[in-house]
Amino acid sequence: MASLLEVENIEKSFGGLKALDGIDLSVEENSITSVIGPNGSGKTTLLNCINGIYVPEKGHVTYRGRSILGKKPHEVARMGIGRTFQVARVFKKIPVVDNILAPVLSSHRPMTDLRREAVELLKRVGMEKFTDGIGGDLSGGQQKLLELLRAWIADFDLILLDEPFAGVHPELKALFFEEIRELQRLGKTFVLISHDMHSVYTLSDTIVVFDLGKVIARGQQEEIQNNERVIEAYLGN
Amino acid sequence: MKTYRKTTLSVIVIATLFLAMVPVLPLSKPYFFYMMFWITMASAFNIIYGFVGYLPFGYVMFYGVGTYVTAVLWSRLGVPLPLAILCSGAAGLVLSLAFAPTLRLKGIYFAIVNFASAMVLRIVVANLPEAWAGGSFGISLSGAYKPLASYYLMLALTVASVVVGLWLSHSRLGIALRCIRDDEAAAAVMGINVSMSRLKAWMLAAVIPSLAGGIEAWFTAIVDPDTSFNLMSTAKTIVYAMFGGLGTITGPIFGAVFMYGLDDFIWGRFPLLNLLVLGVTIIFLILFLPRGVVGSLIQRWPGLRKIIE
Repeated sequence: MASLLEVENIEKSFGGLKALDGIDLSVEENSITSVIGPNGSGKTTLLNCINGIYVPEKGHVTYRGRSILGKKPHEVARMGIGRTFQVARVFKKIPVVDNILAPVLSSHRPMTDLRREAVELLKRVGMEKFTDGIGGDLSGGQQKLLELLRAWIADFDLILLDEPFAGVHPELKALFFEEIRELQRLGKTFVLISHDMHSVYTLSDTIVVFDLGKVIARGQQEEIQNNERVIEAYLGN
Repeated sequence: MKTYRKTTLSVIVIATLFLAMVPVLPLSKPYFFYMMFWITMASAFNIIYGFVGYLPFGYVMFYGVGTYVTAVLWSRLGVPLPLAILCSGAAGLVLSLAFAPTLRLKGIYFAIVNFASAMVLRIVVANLPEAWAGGSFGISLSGAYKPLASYYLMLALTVASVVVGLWLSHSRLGIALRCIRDDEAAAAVMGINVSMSRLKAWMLAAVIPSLAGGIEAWFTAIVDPDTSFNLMSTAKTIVYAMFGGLGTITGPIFGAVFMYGLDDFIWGRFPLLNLLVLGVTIIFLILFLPRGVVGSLIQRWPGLRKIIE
């Protein structure tokens, strides 16, 4: 499979703290790559460097062979990279439907079609009763699901999921799994950050382990589970 | 057509017809002129504060520049008034672009810089050569005094500003602005060009009061720096818009109609109490109705969203 995203030797510091210290990551098209590691190991910082919230001091980030380093977040999004947040960031004071439409406002498709599709997506996940409500009316889990619906409607090719299962009810989590699988079936690629090891093992094609801003291991479930450094730094006994 | 859209459009049509008939009815033309003026100011202010969340404490500067551009162009260069008023709008646009870098500031920093900008502009205008800007005495436009024409022009601008608000409310730009207001970083990650969307709103919010300034200069036939750059005009715009409900379309209209009526009533009978009433209203608003009348009604009964917006 071809590589969709290449992260090469990136470094990012905050004051004296090196959050990313020479990270390399290659994400193949139509795969699910999970990034795991202890809190503060640099996982979310990596996502922020990919989608333009932070600019790394060193290294390269290429998407479909084109450098995206230094591009603004909205430019990165328009190239086809979407993301969700550790704490869901829905627009709390605006209607749920408009929340879903946020990533397609720059598209040329008619608004009536887009609104219809947004309502269809809400029906798909059983949230149609919230169509006329506002983002702030949704529970934490529903807000996370809404973030995924944005990725659906936007047709992002690469979706960065930051802790999508944290604080989500098991039923909703199962729905999340289905949706991620369906999107992957449609050709989408994921980078997943999660502390939920069951989800990581179930969904991932590749697992990359971070510790103190460095990659300490990468591979399949079994390799990761048996890696001494990973056990010591993250998994424990 | 959705219910709220039908309701709003019906109210606009009825109100426009009534306001159009005011000059032939035994009603005070200046009263209704200024009511329309404040509806226009509050609706335009709603674009930048209600939609974007930026509070320009020096908002009066756009109006002030509008009054002066019209007055100077007509009195010194002989430019016909309708064209001079259009130039006021263009000047507002240029001014908004000149101050666009201040949009990088947030919250109170933006508010303070904007406030200071209005004060600086007032001093600059007051100190321009008297032969051009009339100094502290200002400029008389008595030779162009046509209250009926300026009344109808203000009516047209008021309707236009409300229609712009309605359009914005459901447009892609309007949704983008509300997203930015709620969470700027998340909006950017969704592909929304934050600075460009904000700049469009800023320009829109600038051009309307500049045009209003030009029309008002024509209506009163006099401009002077103290009135044109009076910071009380910003305060009134904010209070009127807030009283009705920022972020809604009907809110600033209701706020302007009600508060201007109250203001006029108090001013006519108890001139010394006018500022006191304004001050007490601000305290009351912040404490009990932070969302304004319309905003609070919608919050209490969300179903109302279907009939008012």
